[in-house]
Amino acid sequence: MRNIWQETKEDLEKNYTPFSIVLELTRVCNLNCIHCYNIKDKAELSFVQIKKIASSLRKAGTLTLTLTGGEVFVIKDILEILYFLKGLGFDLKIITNGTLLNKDLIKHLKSIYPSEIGVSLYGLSPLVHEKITRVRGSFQKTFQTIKALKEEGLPVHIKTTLMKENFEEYPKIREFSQKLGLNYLLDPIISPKDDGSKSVLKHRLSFKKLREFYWEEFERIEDFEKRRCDAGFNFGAISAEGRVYPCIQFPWEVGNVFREDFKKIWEESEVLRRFRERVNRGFSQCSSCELYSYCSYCPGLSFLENRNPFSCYRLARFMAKVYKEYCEVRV
Amino acid sequence: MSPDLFQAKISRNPKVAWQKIEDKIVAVHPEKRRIHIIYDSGVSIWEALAKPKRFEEIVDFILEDYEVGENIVNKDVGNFLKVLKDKELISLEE
Repeated sequence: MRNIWQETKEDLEKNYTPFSIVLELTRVCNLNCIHCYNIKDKAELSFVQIKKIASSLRKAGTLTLTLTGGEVFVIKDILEILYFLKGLGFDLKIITNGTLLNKDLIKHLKSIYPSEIGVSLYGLSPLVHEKITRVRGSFQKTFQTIKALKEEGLPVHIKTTLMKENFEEYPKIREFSQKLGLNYLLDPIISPKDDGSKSVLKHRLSFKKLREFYWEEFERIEDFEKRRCDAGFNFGAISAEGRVYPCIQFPWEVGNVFREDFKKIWEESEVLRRFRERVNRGFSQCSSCELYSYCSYCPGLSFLENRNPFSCYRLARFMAKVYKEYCEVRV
Repeated sequence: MSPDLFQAKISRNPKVAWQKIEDKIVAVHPEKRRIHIIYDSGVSIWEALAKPKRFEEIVDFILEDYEVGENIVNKDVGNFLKVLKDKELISLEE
């Protein structure tokens, strides 16, 4: 018997429905993280602009809307925005640094019930966390928010970017999350800034540490499998200046919602059409590569590293080599 | 005790996220972490609930679109709403 959800998913994939969209509400942030990929400006969507974008996303078929910043809770009207978006039917996910949430906001979040509240946590001590956020007192606030959200039964997801400054913390963060029954994501990839600047890459883990991390992860994740990235297919992003991207970490502009309707951009953009066609066809330069079946190439990282989404980049090659080594040893 | 389905004002559970995909409704209950697919005349009932309605208003709404006897619609809508209530996709108010 066919599974009706499977059939629906196949429909979505076939039609390139933008089922999941990241919406960057603002680039304003109250923290100053050393590895941040955002350009430091004050770009922010107004409530009127958000309403217009949201209406177009609904028509285009979007269900999951991930709200990100900057920091979304710096926005004065954030509660009104959240209630409005939820009222339209979106499955909301929120990414926050957790420093600006208070009891009242958390009470409202319980009514809105996002399906995920991702909180950035870089370490389990002020010393490590604040070395990265560069704001004194931020650890205490973030930590209290995580506990308060958990107490209210809200779906907290700990998000940790791993870098030189906090690498030693990751087993502790994993243990802490597991103990509290929280989902967590340890991400060891620092990407270049959205303007292409590579200044933040000095925080990236050495290849030796990356290897150490991935070997442990491969041991833990038994069903690791190679799959196509959804960016530009069923997944997309809109920046705080209305730019439409295939992914928030793939700032390749395919249109702007201030000039054209999102649905029209997603369905008719020539850049997106060519991108999908190229991905579906496969990359000729990859087919002869001995690492091909081990490679989790990311078009966004490729674009940020080389200003070309179809290029081979050093980190992808390295990770594929590590995975190949792992597979060979396992056999 | 929860209000009677046939007397209450019925609305979509505000926590439930949903989207119409082709001719189906994909509904997600974020608290229960469940995905439900609504299809056929269930889609019309879900759409009727864009604003809260009483049972008989939903039946009238369906009767406008389907050439079926009122008794059958009463029974089918009642059964369907019971399922939505059990899955907490709708809320009832006195």
